[in-house]
Amino acid sequence: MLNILIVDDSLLMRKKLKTNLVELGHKIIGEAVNGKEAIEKYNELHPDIVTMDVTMPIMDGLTALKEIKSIDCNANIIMITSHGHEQTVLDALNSGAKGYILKPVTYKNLAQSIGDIFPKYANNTTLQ
Amino acid sequence: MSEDCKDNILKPVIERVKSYMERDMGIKLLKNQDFEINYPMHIKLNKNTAIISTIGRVNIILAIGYDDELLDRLTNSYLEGEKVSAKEYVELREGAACEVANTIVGNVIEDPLDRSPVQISPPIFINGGKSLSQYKGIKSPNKIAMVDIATEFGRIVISAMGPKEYFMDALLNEGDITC
Repeated sequence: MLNILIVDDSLLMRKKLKTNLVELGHKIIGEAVNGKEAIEKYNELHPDIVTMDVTMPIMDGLTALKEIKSIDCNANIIMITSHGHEQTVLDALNSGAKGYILKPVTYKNLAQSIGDIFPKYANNTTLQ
Repeated sequence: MSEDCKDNILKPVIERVKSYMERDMGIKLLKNQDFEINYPMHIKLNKNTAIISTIGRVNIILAIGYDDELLDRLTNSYLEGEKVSAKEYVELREGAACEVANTIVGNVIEDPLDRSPVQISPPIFINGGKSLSQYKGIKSPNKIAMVDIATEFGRIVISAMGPKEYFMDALLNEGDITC
C-alpha cells in the first residue's frame, strides 16, 4: 500500500482519483487544491506518490512540481493533464516528474502509472 | 454546410465526441445522424454550458452544452457510485461539464501552420448564460459554427466562435495564413 497525496482543484477529479486509488489498495493521506497547498502538504505528510493536476489557481502543478523536487529530489510525482498541454508534460518530465496521465483518468491508466514507478504494484491493473 | 465552410475546427471535435462518449464513457450516439455543422448568426446556450478558449495562434472560443440527463450520466460516471450530498452534487455536476469539455476539446484542434495541438484555457462553467450572437451581423469577420450531437441520454451541442478563416479549407494552405 502506498501513501498518496492528491492535488487537484476540481472536487470531481479528487473524488474520482480517491475512489480509483483506494480501489487499487492505496491510502489517500492528503488532498490539496493548488500547488502552494501541495508543497505544504508534501512537507507535512511525505507521501510515496503525488498525483498533480497541471492547471490550478494560485500555483500551477508545474511550479509545484519544481518546488517539491527542489526540496526532495526523490519525490514521485505523476502529472495529470488534459490533451492540449503536451509541452507542459514535456517540461514536467524534464523537471523530474515520474510520469503523466492524459485525461480521461481511468483505473487502468492510474494503475499503470503507479506500476511504472513501483513495479511491485504493476499487477494491480488486472484487478478490473 | 456551404461550400466555403468545410470546417477545420468542429470536424475533429465531432470525431473526439464520438470516441469519448462511446469508448470512454459507454454512452451510445443515436444512429442515422449526419453531424451537420451549421453556421448560425445567433445561438441559444444550454443552461449546462462549459466554455473553453484556445491559446496561441488559433484563437477561438468553444461552448459545450449538455442536456440535463446526459450531464447527470457523465457526472455519475465520474463518481462511480459514490454517494454525495445534493449540495455537493451541484458543484460536482458543474465540474463534470468542465472536465468533459476539457477532455473532448484538448488535442483535437490543430495549429493550421504546423498541425501541432493548440493549448486550451481551463474551462469555465457558465451559470445562466442565455445566448451568443455574431457581432456586426453578416459582414462580421467572425463566425459561429455549431453542431448538435444526439446521444441515448440527450444532446451535446458544441459551438465554436472565432475568425471566419478558421472554418474554411483555405486555412490549410500555408500561404493564405497571415497570423
